Amino acid sequence: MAYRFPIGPYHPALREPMVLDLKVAGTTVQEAALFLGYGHRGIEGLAQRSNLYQNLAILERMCGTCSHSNLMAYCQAIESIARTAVPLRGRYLRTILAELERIHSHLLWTATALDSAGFESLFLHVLEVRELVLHLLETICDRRLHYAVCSVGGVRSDLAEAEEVASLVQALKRPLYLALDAVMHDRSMTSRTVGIGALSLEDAVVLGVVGPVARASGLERDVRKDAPYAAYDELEVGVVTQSGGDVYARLIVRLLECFESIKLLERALEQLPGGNYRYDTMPPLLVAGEGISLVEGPGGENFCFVKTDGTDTPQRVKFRAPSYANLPALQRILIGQDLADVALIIASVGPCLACAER
Amino acid sequence: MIDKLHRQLMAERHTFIQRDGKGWLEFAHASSTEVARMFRDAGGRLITITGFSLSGEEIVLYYHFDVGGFLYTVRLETADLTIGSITPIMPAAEWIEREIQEYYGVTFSGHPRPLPLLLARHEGPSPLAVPQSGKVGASNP
Repeated sequence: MAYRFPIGPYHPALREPMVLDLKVAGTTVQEAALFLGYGHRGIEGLAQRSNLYQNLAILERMCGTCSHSNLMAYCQAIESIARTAVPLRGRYLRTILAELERIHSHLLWTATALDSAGFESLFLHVLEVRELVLHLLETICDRRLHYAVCSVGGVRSDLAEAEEVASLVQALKRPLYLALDAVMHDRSMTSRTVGIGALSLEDAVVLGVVGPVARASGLERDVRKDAPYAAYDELEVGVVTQSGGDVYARLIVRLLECFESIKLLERALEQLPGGNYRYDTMPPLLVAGEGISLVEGPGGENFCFVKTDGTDTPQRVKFRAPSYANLPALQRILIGQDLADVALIIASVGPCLACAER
Repeated sequence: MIDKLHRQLMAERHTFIQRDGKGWLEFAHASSTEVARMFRDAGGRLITITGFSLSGEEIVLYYHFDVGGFLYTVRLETADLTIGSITPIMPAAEWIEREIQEYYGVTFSGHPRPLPLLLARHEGPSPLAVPQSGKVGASNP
């Protein structure tokens, strides 16, 4: 006989507040419905009552794991309205920060999934690797998460620690290989991940999922390659895909993407051009118009739309975070799964509610 | 695929502007469902929909589609604060339309599950249905 199994809004299995209303028969999930709204902060409304520069601070704080991506999307939309181009060095520095952010975010969600699977030693190992990246970000930006580096017209400060970044990027490889090897081959791990929580390619297309979740289902979609921005048109972006669509595939995609990010960082540091990293003189930004920007954040595509009327306050600022596109897919993925795997499946999707609810 | 879609857009009655590798469209007479079908048939996907209130009466909706990496924004307006739901054509629109419904008070006719999404406990008028007024920090300089 089927019964309802509500989880949340505050529950140890959930990383952020939401309600998961499951209909379960035995231990098999028959239906799943998500209810949000517990972390809604009205950021879009606030952005429409703040000026273009106040919004830099507000929008960066929308989320911790993709703060730079959100901010870069907003800056690109403003730059598109003002029809200005960012100096090449500024674009490279944005790219370097974006790839460091991708690594630490991917490692966080990998660690979260490992914790849900009960693999405590590997969970701690992955968090330790992530700590190296956060330490480097603190060295570069004086901050671990909300970096306050990206700004309209480029970045706020130059990179003086290029050699330190290059040396740390090298140091990441070995511990990352250890994590990848364990996730790929450790039987206690694969028995919890292979074939669990699968999303087919067809469903991924229909539901419009993005980022590592889409690529784990075989959908080769990456804004860095499809519509390059920042310095990605000068770097060769490799798109990682898997075909299983399950928890295993999502973990593997994230870890392999860390290696792709390392390659991009190496290339970007090697090719880092000289010159200005922001506008010499600020062009007129208070023009009326509509600007759109897409950024491939760690979770997938971050979309930003800005509409201005020539004053210092935008008429509309709209964000579509990747988790907003991916969370509804959970309602499909969880059907037919065992109740014991629900927390692990949710973690594998990377459910960032701070971004989704804004 | 994109060339074919552009030819179709140019040939028909639409205002179609290309800028920065993106397309901006205004349709003289078209329903949201017609637009969604056109982009679905062209192999496109819905990124999101942006609501915007200019006058405090009807709501402007910007539909953002991606066809092979090319972004299209289609501007449509509600009539009597109502517009056809595109969720039956593009299921990715389900949450997006529910959010606009509660932010702007727009009714999406034909939506399969028009429940609140983020503001289930919100009371009072739709928060973004009127243009925003008052600046942050204005009363506390």
